[in-house]
Amino acid sequence: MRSLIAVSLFAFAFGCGNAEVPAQELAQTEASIRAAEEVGAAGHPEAALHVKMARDQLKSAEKYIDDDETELAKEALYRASLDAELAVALSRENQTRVEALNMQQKAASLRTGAP
Amino acid sequence: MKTKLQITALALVLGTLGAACGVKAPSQELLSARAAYDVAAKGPAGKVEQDKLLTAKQALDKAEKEHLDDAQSNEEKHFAYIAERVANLADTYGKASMNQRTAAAAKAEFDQLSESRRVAAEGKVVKTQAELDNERAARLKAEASLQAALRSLAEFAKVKEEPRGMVITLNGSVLFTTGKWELLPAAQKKLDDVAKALADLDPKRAIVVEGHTDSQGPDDANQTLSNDRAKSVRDYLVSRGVADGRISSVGKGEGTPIGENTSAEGRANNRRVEIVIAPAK
Repeated sequence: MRSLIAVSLFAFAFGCGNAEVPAQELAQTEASIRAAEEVGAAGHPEAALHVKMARDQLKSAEKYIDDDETELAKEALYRASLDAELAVALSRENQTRVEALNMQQKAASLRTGAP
Repeated sequence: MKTKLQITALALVLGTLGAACGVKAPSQELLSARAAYDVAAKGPAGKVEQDKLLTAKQALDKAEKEHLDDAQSNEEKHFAYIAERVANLADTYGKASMNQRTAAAAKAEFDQLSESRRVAAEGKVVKTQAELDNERAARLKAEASLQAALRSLAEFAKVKEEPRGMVITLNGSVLFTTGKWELLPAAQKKLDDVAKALADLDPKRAIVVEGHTDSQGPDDANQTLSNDRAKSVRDYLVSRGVADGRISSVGKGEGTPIGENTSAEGRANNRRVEIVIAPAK
């Protein structure tokens, strides 16, 4: 999912956009931000920062849409989607790090003979 | 002071030259993107997130081109922003992948150690079972030894099971001369086999040696004689290996007859020593 969003948005970011209001991109970006919030990005400071950046970029995009600056709006949406994806990735990386640490501690307790 | 002036002058000259040549410093976004890409390329992403790194590099190249075309432009900043975020993503995914590998390795070690412990614990159980089997075999062997010894006593002893345990009844006339409590040599030889069997028997089974007399003569003399005879047998068994602490003696006098004291045969039966072996618990 993350790659699909990144690739598709990256394509238009490199210059294949048009003048229509990016309603679909807007909806996708909002969904990405909500997903980042749902995976618990708020519990991870760096992830929370990127959720905020994504929200800021989303506001910029909405302003560009109001100003009929469609290309700038698409660029802002793409930046927002990347921040949202990064927030999710950071949360999950943190989770894998904790799991690895826990498993290492369990193995160490057996290795040293602790109960 | 002089040096500071020289540096300031140099900066002014370079700034003038740069402005004259149209060279502008990279945007903060571009500087951050370059740094983020370097970090990601040198980390785990360099091995496991090469596609993502390539995307970051393409965005960075685009930002560099925009910088050359129109430094500090929105396009330079936009592509630099993309390059930095994609590089961050590559770095984060690379680290997550490394964490998963670390967790998997730790789990494999944990499973292996758990299995080793389980096998060791099972071995201990098997060993304990073997020890129990050995104890049981030794107990059975001792019982068999006792039965064999008892069979050899058959000519002058009776053996029977009672609620109070196994009772070996030894005829007094075989053990002692009349009115005495010293064991006869022939009796000692017979008691040697009994002592050996009792020594090997389950140490939890207590042994009591009881002395009994017939009703002839004064009660107190019979009581004393029964005490002495019981103690004589008990001491002999201890001297032959039965643990001192598990065997005791008691004189019952003439109070517990098993035959009529009015006949010679009954009195002979009443003059006896009983070895009572408590039941196994």
